[in-house]
Amino acid sequence: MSLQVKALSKSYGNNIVLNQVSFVVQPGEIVCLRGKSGEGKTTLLRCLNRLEKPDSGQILIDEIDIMVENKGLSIAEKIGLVFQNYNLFPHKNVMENLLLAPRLLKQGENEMKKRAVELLKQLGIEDKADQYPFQLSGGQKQRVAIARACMLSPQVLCFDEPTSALDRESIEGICRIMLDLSKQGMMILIVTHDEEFAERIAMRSLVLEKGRMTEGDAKGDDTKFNLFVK
Amino acid sequence: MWKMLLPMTGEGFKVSISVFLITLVFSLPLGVVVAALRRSGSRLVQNLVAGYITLMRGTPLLLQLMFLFFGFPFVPVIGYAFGRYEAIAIAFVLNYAAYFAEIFRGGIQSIDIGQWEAGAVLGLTRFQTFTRIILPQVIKNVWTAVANEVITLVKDTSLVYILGVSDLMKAAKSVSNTFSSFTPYLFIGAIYLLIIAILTKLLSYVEKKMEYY
Repeated sequence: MSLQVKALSKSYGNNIVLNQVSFVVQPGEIVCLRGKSGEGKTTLLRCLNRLEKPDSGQILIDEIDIMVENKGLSIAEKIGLVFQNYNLFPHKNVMENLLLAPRLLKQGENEMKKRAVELLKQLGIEDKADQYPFQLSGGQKQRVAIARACMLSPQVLCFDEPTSALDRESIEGICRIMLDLSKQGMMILIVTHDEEFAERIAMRSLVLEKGRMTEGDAKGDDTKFNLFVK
Repeated sequence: MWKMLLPMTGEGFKVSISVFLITLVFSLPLGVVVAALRRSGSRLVQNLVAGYITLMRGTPLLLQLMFLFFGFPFVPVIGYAFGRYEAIAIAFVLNYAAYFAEIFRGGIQSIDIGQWEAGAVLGLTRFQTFTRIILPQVIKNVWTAVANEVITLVKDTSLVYILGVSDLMKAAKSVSNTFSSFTPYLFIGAIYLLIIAILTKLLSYVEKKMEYY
């Protein structure tokens, strides 16, 4: 089980944003996608989540090409995304935000409710279940977004600029959560231009430059992160 | 005068309220569909919908009523003689659906694209995303504009007099002509005012209910 991106290309007119990008993420890995603004990091994340259609290439999760698979549920069970601005549903409370998609995708109601409660507890926001997004802080909203993305137990969880609107304390919290999720075997892919954060959380870094991907530094373990959170 | 006015007012009230309710029940959902079609990927559909909206908003409702009842039977190939009430219902529904569609279109555009994307990433279809995520937010955003149209609709129902239907206004006119008095008009005016006052209260109540987020 792994995420394999093979020769992924995407251009807008003459502007080549992704040029034959290939990489692999293994279970339990936290990988940061780094690069300057406009180098295609977010486009790559959007392609992985089928919000953009690549011109060519393959995205395989568990050996299944998610660009060929056309059932929404199957994709949502493989890959999830936590948006930069969270995109919570403002008219739904936290619990409803978590349960909306599983209900529409006809997942078992009781089982999903149980999972939602577990996730909220794991993320330390179990007391916010009845609150609406406007009543939450930035860090709490992000946790709700993570919980919502985790409801269908995706194998890969992507984060788009997760630290952009968070204070130091919330960043530490999010680091712990990411580490917890990776320990459960989830593959975590983070787009960030926050060098300090990437240094601390990433087990491996990938760098996008002019549409090409290069391998950054590899740490191989999370000792540095543990130092950080203490 | 009152012996004639009161029963006629009762009959007229039934007609006016029927036109109002039928228009509302059919034009609101049709407006949502038309607004959604305006965002269709097909250029042809977009142009057809734009043409329909321009026609409905660009010509008086009175003229549309007259055309459907008096003119449509003479249209080659598709011509058909509608009954009075059929013509009224069709003209009102088509006209108001066009206005509602424009209101909903603005409302849909006001929703952050991220809401659509969140639905897509969670595995929902575009239809599920629209009905469960976008539309409830749109309704809240456009409520005031829709409420204005609803109030206007109450008064627009008086246009049905042109097809000889006995609505509230026609009742006032008949009694006024018989007794050479302006009082029936004042009385009917008060009834319109009362209907609109009740509706305004009801619409404000719903608006407040939606202000939970």
